[in-house]
Amino acid sequence: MVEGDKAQPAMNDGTRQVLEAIRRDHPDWQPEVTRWGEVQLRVGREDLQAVARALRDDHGFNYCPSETVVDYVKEGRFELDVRLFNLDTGAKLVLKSDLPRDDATCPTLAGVWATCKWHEREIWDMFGVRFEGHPDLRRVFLSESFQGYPLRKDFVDARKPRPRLVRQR
Amino acid sequence: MGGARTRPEPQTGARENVIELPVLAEGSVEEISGRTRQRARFRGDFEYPGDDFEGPNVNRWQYLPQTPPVEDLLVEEVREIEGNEREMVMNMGPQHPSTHGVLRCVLGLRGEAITRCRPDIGYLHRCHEKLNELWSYQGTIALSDRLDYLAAMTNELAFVLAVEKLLEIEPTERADYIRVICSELQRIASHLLFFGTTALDLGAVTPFLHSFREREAVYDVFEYISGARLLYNYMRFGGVRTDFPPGTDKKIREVLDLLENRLPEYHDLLSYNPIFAVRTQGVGVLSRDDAIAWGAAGPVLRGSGVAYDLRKADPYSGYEKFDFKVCVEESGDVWARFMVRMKEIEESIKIIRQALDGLPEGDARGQVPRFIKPPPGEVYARVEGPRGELGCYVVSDGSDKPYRCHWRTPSFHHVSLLEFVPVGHLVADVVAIIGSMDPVFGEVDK
Repeated sequence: MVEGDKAQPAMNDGTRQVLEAIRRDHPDWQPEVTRWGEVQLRVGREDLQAVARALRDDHGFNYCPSETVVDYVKEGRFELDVRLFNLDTGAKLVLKSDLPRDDATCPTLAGVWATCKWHEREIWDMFGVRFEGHPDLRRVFLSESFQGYPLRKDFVDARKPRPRLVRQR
Repeated sequence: MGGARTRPEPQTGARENVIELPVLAEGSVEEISGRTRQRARFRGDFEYPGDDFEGPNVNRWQYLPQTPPVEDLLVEEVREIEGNEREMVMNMGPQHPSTHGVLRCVLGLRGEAITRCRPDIGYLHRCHEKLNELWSYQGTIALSDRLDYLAAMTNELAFVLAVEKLLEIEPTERADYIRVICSELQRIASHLLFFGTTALDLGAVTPFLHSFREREAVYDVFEYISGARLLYNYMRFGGVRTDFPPGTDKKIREVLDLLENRLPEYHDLLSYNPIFAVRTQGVGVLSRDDAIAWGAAGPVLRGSGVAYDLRKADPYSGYEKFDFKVCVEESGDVWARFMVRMKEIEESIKIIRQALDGLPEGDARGQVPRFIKPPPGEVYARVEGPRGELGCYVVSDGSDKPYRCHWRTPSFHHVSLLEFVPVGHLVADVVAIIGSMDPVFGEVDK
């Protein structure tokens, strides 16, 4: 996560234009440039929806391939990581937001990019982050009766071991 | 759908068939399990392997006979269906042969038309991302084969590219060429399987046999190169495990010649077959805007008229050196997705020929230590797999295992499209639509 001009060579033209546009239009956003030539924005979760909407409508980020969460248990936070791309110019952007671990809620992005509906179902299933305003927040892989969120770093499987089924001869 | 046929009125008492189930109370598990087991025996006189397991899961058999699987629908939807006598709920899968594995779709039907579709996944969940955190980086290469088991090479490539970025190493030039050849052969093998299974889903058995004959030839090449036919464990950080053995060039060219001869035969057999065209054209139309918003990728996105291919848009492994074109179809239906894949086979053949001609001398593997500990950081690498954008997000904390590894798998989002694409079509078309998305459940369920 190097800021400044050191990492410029990997950046493509679309990303450079977006970086200039963001610095011009939104002086309060504080974009960084990652080592891999992506623009990285870190926003508070209360601003998440507004920023996402602006990125989609004003800067052309129409494609969201990945949205996920990393559990930094020692720091007591989840980090939301949203990858955005502009299919027309090839611009890349990373949207980050910190969510406190003891209040794991986040406004949903399903209204901005429809694909986030299923990304967020997966996050809810695996990390237990509740997305406010999500239209259909059910678990996606595990059954509804499953206790706990298995990709949290402090998850302990409390179920009794299932007896082995041995064929009687 | 001739006008002469009239649709029979639905029977109003159809709900009488539903067996009323006792409400589960504390301590009543034994009684219910006994009763349901009786019913199961009555239905088929067979025993389930876990029949004597007295645990909380026993009562799931109560859902066996006719009860609608209401827990998979939204509350308001259930209310809507219950208030509407003409609407019926049907379960498709998870053991349906055309669902490419274990997809279950809860379909709302009005007559034979689909009113709603809820895909239900997770039957093949193997805790893939959790295992990534528990295994070393080397082990994860072998594990990533199991993600999309029909395109193991591209899975490995995504992970290896991500870790190489973290380690800040470059693969050798020869390794890049070998990776491109393997990825494209894998794409051909995967698309051949798609050709066969799509035909099979629509009731044509012969194309399946033809495509598997050629797919075997491709897999023979993989066996010759890597020693395995399906799960290769071939990529390594900084290169590939072993160089091409002598004679590989000739073998690959033989396969390409064979394919070029057979592809017109495929088109005669299926692509321009009038029955196939009627079953696929205009069916399952996915608009351009929906395809982008719902995260469709690869042939599904290109079938909807978006010329987006990562090999051109964000080249990796030296794809910018090769001359090929991005295959796009505008109509967005099952036929378009099918034709994109068939054209991609031809483009892949072109790429492999160029790569074989220009294959440089040198080492196929760089000098990388056996045990690696990438510096702390995070990276998102993506490749164009046969099914679309395959992304791998790796977070390192400086230890010998990934702190977090997330896979962005294209099939997961293609299954999510089933929520709205089949609505308005007939039940038989759902099969065609699922087939055209070409989901592989290893990577949907992770």
